[in-house]
Amino acid sequence: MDFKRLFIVIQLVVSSFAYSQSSLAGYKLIGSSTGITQLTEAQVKDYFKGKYTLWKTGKSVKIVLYSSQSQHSAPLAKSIYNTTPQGVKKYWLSLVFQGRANPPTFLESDSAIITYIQNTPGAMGFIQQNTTCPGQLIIQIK
Amino acid sequence: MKNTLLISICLLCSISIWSQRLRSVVNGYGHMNWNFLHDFEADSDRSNSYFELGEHDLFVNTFFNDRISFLGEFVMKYTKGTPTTFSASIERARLKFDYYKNHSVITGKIHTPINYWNDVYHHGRLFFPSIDRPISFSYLIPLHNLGVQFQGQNLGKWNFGYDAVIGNGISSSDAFDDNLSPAVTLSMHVKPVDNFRIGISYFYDFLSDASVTGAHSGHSPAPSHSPGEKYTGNLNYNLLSQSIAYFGNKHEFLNEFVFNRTHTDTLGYANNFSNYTYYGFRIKEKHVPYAIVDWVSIAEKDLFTYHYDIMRLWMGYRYEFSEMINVKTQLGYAFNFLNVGHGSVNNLEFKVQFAYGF
Repeated sequence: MDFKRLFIVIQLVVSSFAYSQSSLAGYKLIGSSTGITQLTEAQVKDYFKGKYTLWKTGKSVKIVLYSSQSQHSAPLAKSIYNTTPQGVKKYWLSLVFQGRANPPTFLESDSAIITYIQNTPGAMGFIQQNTTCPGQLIIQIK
Repeated sequence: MKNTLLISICLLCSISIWSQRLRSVVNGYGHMNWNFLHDFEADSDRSNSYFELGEHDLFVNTFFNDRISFLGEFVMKYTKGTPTTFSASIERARLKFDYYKNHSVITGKIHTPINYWNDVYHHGRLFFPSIDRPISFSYLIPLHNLGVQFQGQNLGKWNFGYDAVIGNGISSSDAFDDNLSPAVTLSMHVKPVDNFRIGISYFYDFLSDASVTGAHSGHSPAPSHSPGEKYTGNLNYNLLSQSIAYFGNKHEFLNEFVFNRTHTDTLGYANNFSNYTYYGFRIKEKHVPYAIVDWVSIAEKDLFTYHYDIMRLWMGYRYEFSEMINVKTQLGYAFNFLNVGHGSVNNLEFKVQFAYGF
């Protein structure tokens, strides 16, 4: 019995530790007309690195990022690209210049990101976890 | 021609303003240099220094719908002999159709996907890790192609990519090719981890007159060759290239190896080689010292580029003010292994370059 309790406590500690270590914790992923409802964290990073061109719906993948003026640009740049917001801009400039990806859209606030994604089929971006948005936009991260 | 180009660019930009359905992104890139050269072989006037206004590049991306896009790169650059000493050129103008997942078909004028440098950097000096392109770009690499390209990228776990191009060859212009045989490019690469890419490519072209170099070539005869005595017969041009590139947060490494084999009825096969190696180390966020070894060897029997053998060693330093502007300085020495007259010199060079984008 004691072992069972200990096991449960350990599991809770480990899972909460794992959650706090999740590099995208504190943010939720939203998108429109993507045809998907959930992605793994690795897949999310691949999408945000411009590795995919089209969704299954046939819409092109349009990435939305916080602009460097936003306080959220730095933690997301570190989590997804392992670099600074300036490094992210350089990464995308280079990729677009090669002709291998569509340029992302940089927006400053959650409300601007939500509005843009609602009006742009195929767009996907992060907003803060506590920001409310239409439920059909939310993409779960497994 | 220049006016027509400018009007076209203005029209292109205005389309994005007036049409709600089109999305266009316009960027500009440019650079300027200061150069110092010391020629150890010259009898007099051994040293020279000068400022140089470099290429200025208007880069346009337009999205017609979810699957069709246009990419254009229009360059203004110094050109000796023109009335204004500047000329405009269309360096890239391509329509891309994403037909299935990460597979696309592209038509228009492209940069030949022949190695890492030509596929990735194009005319954007802002993205160059160093000041100059590898020497092979002046003699061996077929820079452009006008035709149809089939492209796939980021396929599978290893991020496999391929390019297959059929188009006008080295001796063609942007509106004409002088023979029936198209140039063929086959290229593939993998990116097993982020920031690392390894690839190989093959290029073949048949030239009915080897003295003609058109708009799609960076080729010029070696300086040791006397102009006016060029071979005018048929020539088969084969080029095999291998690239290894890693641009991480700390280390930067690029190796470009090229094996070029030309064949003429007159002298038979000629085997040419080039190897370019760059290594940079980011000591702080914005500071990157680097070193380069760049070597080209053209065989004596080659009747396209002509006999040449040169190695350049560079030490350099790059400071990145931001993602949109950097300054590079390089100190280098050119060893010319052929001692055949003017143009084959051993010289010391010092260069400074500001490269920017907006």
